[in-house]
Amino acid sequence: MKKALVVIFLGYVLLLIETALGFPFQLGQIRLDGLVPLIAWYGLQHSLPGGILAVLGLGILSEQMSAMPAGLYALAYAGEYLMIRYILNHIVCAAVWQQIMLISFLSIEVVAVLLIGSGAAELLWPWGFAQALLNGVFAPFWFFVFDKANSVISSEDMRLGVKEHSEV
Amino acid sequence: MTAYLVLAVVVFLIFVVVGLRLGSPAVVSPVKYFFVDLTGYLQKGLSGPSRWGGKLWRSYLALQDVELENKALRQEVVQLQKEIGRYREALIANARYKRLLGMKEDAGATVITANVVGVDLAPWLATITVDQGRKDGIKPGMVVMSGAGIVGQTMETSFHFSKVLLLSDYNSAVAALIQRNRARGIIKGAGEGRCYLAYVEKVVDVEVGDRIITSGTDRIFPKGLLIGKVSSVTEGSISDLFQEITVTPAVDLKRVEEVVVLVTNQPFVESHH
Repeated sequence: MKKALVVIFLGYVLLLIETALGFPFQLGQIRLDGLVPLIAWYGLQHSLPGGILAVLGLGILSEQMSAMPAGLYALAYAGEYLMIRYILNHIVCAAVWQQIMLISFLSIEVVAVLLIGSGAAELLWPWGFAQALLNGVFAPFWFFVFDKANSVISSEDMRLGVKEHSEV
Repeated sequence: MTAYLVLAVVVFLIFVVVGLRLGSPAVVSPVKYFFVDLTGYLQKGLSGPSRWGGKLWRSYLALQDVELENKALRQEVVQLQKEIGRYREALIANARYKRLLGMKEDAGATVITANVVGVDLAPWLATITVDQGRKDGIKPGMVVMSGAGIVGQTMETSFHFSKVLLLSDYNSAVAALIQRNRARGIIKGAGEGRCYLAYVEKVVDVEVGDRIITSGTDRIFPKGLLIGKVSSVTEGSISDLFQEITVTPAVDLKRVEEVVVLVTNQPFVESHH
């Protein structure tokens, strides 16, 4: 439960940064996006059925910051999460190039759902694939950031836990 | 088996969320608007420093050419004053003719300035969030402008913030006409801050540089507001009925930072007399 809240919080921060600072992160029809790697990172560690609720939460949050049709983000992100859970036992995601490949592959699903669902299917080539590639290229950076954030939050929890224990 | 069950639950949850949003907006709206306001304030806080930095940099650049610019501006002021005199005369004459013809005056509009605090999460959707909302009288379907011309229309409002659909969005359509020859068409969004003028027949004479203005027939935009200028014209293939006309908006839609919203109580309707 705690991890789900952490992921929703991280996702919300990313959404705020991406929408508030907007255009500097945008090139043509693509943008630096941390949400797809975040869901993949979360999917690699957190199992069903609890995990899907956080992903749906992120989808609903994303929807509030976009004019996208209702439910589309939730559908795209849920699809990504289920895909990564399905292929989990068949992949290794330790090396940088493996992370790039994995996120590029998952991004194609997310981008395709979003573009087709919003009536902009003609942008799938070249922009959709360019977005998938961009997400993949930046995946190692995002994974590093999420791992760091997670370890900081976990160590803080442990510190507080020890303190509470000693107080008792 | 478990996987199928989970999949069914996920699909069900998505349907519940979508159903609530579409079917019972009254249930979801208060929560949604609270969230939009909260997010708006956070976006405003985040976008503030970058906006301020940008302004500072532009001010510095502007200072470098200030003497030359001053000289040119003084000459321009003299020219403009002459023009204002002529326009005043035309305005007075116009009012007199309107009275003679018994036509109604345009609906008066209050102008509210707003800052852009956020952009759409999806790069191919051209919507922005501005920091004025229902408390200022803004409702969906109101005209949003910048100094140079129209920017778009409001599409959703919370108490303190509003979402604006830009001219360049694929879902945007504005009734327009070519100022020079009064030929009518529809301005549609083409993404990436660009637009095109649709449904103009091949027999119509269109030139690069022609000014495109609102026609007022869509009941949202009042007549005569500048949209942009024609940047290219092609006839298309022989089977095409209409010309392919790209329009460069008067406002740089990818760099817009401040806008004005025309707040009215009634729609702008073109007078037909």
